[in-house]
Amino acid sequence: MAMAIDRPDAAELLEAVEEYLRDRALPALSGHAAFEARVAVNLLTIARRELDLGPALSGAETERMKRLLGRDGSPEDLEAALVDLIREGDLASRWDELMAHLRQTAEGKIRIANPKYLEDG
Amino acid sequence: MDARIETLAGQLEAALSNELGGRVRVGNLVRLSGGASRETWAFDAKGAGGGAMSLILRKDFEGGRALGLAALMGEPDDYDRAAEYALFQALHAAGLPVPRPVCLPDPATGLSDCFVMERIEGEGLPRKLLRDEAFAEARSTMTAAIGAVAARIHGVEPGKLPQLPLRDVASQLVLCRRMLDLGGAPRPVFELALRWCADHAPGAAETPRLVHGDFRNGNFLVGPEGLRAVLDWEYAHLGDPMEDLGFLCLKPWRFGNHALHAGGFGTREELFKSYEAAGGGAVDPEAVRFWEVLGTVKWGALCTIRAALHLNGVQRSVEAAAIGRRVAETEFDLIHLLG
Repeated sequence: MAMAIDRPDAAELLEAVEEYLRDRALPALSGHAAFEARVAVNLLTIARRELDLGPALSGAETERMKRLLGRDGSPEDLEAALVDLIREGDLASRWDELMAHLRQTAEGKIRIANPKYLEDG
Repeated sequence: MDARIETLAGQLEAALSNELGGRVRVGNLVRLSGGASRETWAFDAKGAGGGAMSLILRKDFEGGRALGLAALMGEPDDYDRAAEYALFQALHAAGLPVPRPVCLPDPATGLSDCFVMERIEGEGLPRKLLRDEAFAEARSTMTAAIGAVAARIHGVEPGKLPQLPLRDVASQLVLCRRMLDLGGAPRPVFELALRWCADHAPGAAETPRLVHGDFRNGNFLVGPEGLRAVLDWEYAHLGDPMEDLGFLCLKPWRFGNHALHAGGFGTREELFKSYEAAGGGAVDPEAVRFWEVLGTVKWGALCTIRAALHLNGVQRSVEAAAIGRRVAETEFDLIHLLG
């Protein structure tokens, strides 16, 4: 962590707001406002998981795209090239590798956004 | 009383008095739920003769038409509430389980983009239908009832319906393409699924049939004894009846009952059997799978649009932000369907 940042750091701030919303604000709310507060709590949980898991998952995704496409580039360039391949390229010869990449990418996003979805199968 | 509710109640009294004759009084007007483009209001109406009716007002959201799919895609939106009202009249006349349409208000009353229908009591929330003890008996009848009602919907003589748009595979692929383009940067999984759909399109049905177009757990009204009504006909069109069976089986409508493909109530096989037993014609499982893939793309694209509307400031909410992060689940579902 850079010296310019004191604790609580970003993750700890998110956690503090999450606890406040869930334990203090939410019990005082009802109806649609309570529904939105529950959604807000969940969004903060997602943001914390993204800080925790996001960098490694994004790095692994980029490495897989480089292997699949046989080229270098920024994550945005690589994804655009992957889209071009999927729209127009010959997929049959690398179907399994492509599907494995797409599955791992989707699973990574879900591990951040809603890990319970993977347990449910 | 809230000023808006007072105004709305007065407008409804005027519209219903015109329609039914005599002085109609409106009471207990409450807003039930929102959606991205619709408001639903419940109320009671008492006629001059003293007869009381439980009614529902379905009204386009203030500014909601501008957020409708047709408007977003720059297409004319010719399927308005008047057309939907005419469809309800035809469906009710054909004996289908839909609320009886009561009144299409004259815009002179100040009410537009809406219609009034009878209120059928029942539960529509999927999680309650799938979990609550009160619906245990209903659950055991639902797959057969859903298959049978689908067969009846698809069996309606198109000549007895008001004009409906024809939505064949080609036009729905165009629709998905436009929706995905509105939803942000292209996503590899959706691109792969669209290409698969273009390569695996089933042959066109010899005669296009009435298709509900949003046939899922969430649009069924259920009592303790079983299915009472099919709601939300705003996406009704003519097309391939297998579309409704495929859409019903989408994973998001199983609400955790993943092995029970048909809305969390029963398996695909049970659904197909009940559909055929009710006279729905032979089910083509490959066509159903095709529509399940296309339906998943459509649902995922809608989610990307909701998220994009949040990100570009048109319709900001925590709910829309959350929906943006659930798109990966539809990608995951598509990989399973295509894998």
